[in-house]
Amino acid sequence: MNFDHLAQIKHRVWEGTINVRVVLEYTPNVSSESSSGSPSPSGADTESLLSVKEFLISVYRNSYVPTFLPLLVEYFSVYVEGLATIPVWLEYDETPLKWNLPVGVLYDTLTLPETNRREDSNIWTLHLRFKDQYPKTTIIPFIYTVTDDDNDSSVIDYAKSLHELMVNQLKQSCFVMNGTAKPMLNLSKEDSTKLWESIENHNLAHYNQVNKRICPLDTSLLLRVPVKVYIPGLGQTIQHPVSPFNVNGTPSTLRNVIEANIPQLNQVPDKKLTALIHGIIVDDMLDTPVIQFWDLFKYMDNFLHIVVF
Amino acid sequence: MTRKVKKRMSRSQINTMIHSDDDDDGDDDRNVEEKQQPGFEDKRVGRTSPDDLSTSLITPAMTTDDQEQDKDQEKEPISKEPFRAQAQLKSVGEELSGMARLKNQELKIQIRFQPVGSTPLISPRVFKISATQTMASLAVFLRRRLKVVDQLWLYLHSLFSPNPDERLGDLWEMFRTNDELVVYYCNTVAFG
Repeated sequence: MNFDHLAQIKHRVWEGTINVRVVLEYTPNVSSESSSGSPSPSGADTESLLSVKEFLISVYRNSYVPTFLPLLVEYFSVYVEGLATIPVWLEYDETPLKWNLPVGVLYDTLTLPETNRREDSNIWTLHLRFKDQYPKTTIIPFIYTVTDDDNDSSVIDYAKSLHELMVNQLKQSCFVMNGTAKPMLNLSKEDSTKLWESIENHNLAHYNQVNKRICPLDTSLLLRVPVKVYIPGLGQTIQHPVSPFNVNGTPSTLRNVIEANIPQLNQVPDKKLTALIHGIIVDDMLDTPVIQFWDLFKYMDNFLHIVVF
Repeated sequence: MTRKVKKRMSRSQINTMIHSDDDDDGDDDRNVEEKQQPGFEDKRVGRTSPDDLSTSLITPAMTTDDQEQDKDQEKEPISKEPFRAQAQLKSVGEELSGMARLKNQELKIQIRFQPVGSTPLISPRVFKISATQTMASLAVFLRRRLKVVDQLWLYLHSLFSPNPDERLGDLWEMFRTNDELVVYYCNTVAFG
């Protein structure tokens, strides 16, 4: 494949989207006149008088939940008073979405696309939750607020939490790649801002301009390959220091990387593995050098996220 | 290898996709603004989060007091079967999850805590903790030890903060210094 082809693949990975339907269930404010006509005693029926609203959105795989939470909050605020002032979260199938993982990774680990296990092939239905206590032991809480000038109230600052996460993830991957986080720390204020804005606005050109200063000039100069491995249902992220080359000088393959991350696999040599990267089944390519995958399919935190089962 | 890459959408296009199913109220009773949806139930009542997706909070070094608190948190009633999709997912990843859990199962890693700024000191500073624990459980352990109720920020190499789901054994293998994982902690953002 020539350079144009590779650039095209990177572009398509960056632009890949998932169709999402967000469902809000809420108790509308019913006037006293209309509720008096209800046969059931008041108090008991407030819980059952739920309404449902929907929001359809196309979400980038290579992005994070907090980038579109403000859109949802803005739209649904019409139905739930003060929604912007309380932290919200999304659930799939009663599982809170860990917003610290890229959307594509969440989708892949929770629905296993292209494996015919999904109920509905073309849309991912999520529920927006706000009422119950925020599941802070499962997902990271949104702790920052910002003053809303319009009505002088403090609203949840989703962007600030995401910014904090992205800086930390980029520093972590930078350290894995280079053995030091200096390339990241040495970015000028302008470049740091540009990098964050490119993540927020999903601007590939701007992102590349800054990110190339964090990554080594050539993939062969990588000290270690930033890889994170996920198994459906495990609930933990697995990672392992993997050099781009084996001890004998041959390139580390995707299979090598998965086996390094899950050493017990060596005891089951005939275990059939399925690996998903950006929703693509790569089972037939397990013997491809991992650097090639990393270069083309890394997410915006510079980690190659692999789902295996 | 097929992969659908949907056409790009500008924000305005997304906004035109906004849609609500408000229009099923074609009934005559104008007094009732919103009527009860038949067959609809609040799925959140009595719900329990699946064990495998919540983070285990029990660290070996915790006191029995701590563990009892954890048990209290887990006392949500189990009132319904898990969803089909979730049960399926669990079975799909079961074999490999089992293998992954065995990784460094016997290993106890050494962690050295290092306070930053005005954050209280912890004594002793060095702990041995099972490699299978996660950053989330480490944060809970530290908060209880320090009797801090607010958030603590944890950093490695005074540089970055790993995700809560990351395993201490993995982080130790990748980021240790002199066979210790040095964890900097602070009651505010220390390294931006």
